[in-house]
Amino acid sequence: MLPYERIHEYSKAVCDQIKWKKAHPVITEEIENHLTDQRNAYIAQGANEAAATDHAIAQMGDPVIVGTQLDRTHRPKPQWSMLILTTVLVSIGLLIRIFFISGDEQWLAPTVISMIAGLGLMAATYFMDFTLIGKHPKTFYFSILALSVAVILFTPMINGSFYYASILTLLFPLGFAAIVYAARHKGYWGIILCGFSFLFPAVLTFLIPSTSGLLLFTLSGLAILCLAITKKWFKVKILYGYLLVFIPVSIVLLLTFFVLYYSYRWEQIQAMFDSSSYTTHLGYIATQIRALLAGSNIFGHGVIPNATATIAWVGNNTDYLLAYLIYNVGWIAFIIIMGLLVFFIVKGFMLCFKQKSSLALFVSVSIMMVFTLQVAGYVAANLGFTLISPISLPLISYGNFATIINLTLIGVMLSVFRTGDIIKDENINKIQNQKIITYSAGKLIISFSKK
Amino acid sequence: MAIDKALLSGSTTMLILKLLEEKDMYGYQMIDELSKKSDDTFSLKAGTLYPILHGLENDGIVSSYDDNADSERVRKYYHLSNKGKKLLKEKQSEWTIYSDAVNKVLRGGASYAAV
Repeated sequence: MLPYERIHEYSKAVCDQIKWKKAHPVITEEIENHLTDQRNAYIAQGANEAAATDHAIAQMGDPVIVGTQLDRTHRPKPQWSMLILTTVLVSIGLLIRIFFISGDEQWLAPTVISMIAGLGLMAATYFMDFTLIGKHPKTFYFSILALSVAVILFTPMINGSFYYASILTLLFPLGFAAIVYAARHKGYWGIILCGFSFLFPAVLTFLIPSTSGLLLFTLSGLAILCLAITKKWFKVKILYGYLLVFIPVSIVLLLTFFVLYYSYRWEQIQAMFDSSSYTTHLGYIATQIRALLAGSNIFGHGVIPNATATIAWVGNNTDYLLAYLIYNVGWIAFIIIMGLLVFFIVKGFMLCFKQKSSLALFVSVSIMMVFTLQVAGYVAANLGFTLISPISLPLISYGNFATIINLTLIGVMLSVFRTGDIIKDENINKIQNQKIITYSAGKLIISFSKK
Repeated sequence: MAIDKALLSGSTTMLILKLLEEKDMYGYQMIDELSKKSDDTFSLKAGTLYPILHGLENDGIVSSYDDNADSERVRKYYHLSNKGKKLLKEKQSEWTIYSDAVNKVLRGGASYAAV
């Protein structure tokens, strides 16, 4: 057997002991590099190639023993705490609905089925290979767009908007992240490409129409793009990268500001923050919510005379579940639920930034942004800042489709945390770092090592 | 002379961490350096080194990254984390206490050295 084949045979023998197949490429590369270095050292000392190779392999030790030891350290990392937390949040949502929301029992079966379906999808994506997103980023992005268009065309409007499509906007940041990943290393044109890929979903959210979806997508997209620029993945000067992004954004912001200023909305916005002077402009919903909150206690039922109509309305509106709970159970309910959600968010972001590969970081950060912004929007609306009706309180508020989408996204993110350790950017797209013929230090090196 | 394996295995991790304290290295480089620094007393087997390194990485003691600093080939370099620096200090003081104690015992008691 040829010497280089013997090295390959050795690394294969080691990998045979490692059950987790995805770890094989990383380990193979390191072991073969080492054996090659060792063999070269012996050749430099005067041995012939065959003897040097044998000696190098002997120096490594028994491949089975080495492999068994490596198997112990290379296992996918089950994300128990996040999985349990997710299940707890979903259960809380179900329990709240059972105990606090009045109405006929017809909702129970579809809700339970959606939760099981959602948890099933989460399990499926958890065990799936998330690097598929990195391998086919454009397909992924356009599939999400196509799905949204299909949903707009074929589903009914509810309350003036394409409800199911507005929930699908939760997937847009992930699609955008895939494009940003594909466009990294492409310099300023890469950033411009990302800008275009931002426009298509943004236009779709206008058509739905979903202001909260647009806001969520914009903020997530900005965060992802800025992260990429800061980490120098576009290989441009950070300052110029930011300018390229924020000049168009500022122009759009200014335009939006002017449009708002001259519309009825402006007084409503002012009223949100200074209700003493502008109560008449607050709008029905904000007024009701703020009244409810004002009459709530820390523990137990709040007290507001003549509030039965309001309470009934709020109770049946999934957008204001927190306000409803605060009034009926006390602020303690808010504190507990927010505690769990904040814990999820903090832990999620910490795990995001531990990731080694850029794909892992992009995917997990985009999903955490979607989760966090949903929570932020929902809490703001439920504390009386009801400018934009929220999409959902992830896993808790009762929108079956939203729960399914959120669970699927969480599954993808946990899959990243589970397997991200041995994912390297080069291995995802098989960018060959090794050329066959190279010249260095006065030597012509021809390398046929198989990848 | 060949050192008893049992003596070596306990302090292997500490020696590896010490090497990385100086600068980031890849596997083969570590074995080479260790051999040089110990005047060839320690010749660590690669099959022992890599499982230890990967285990350390799992525990966050070291981190790894790819670089082609040395040659046209991309190698996996290891870097001592802050957690690793702390562990190294601990192990060093552990070793000092241990070796001092052993030396005390050896110096005391019957001595067959010529006076």
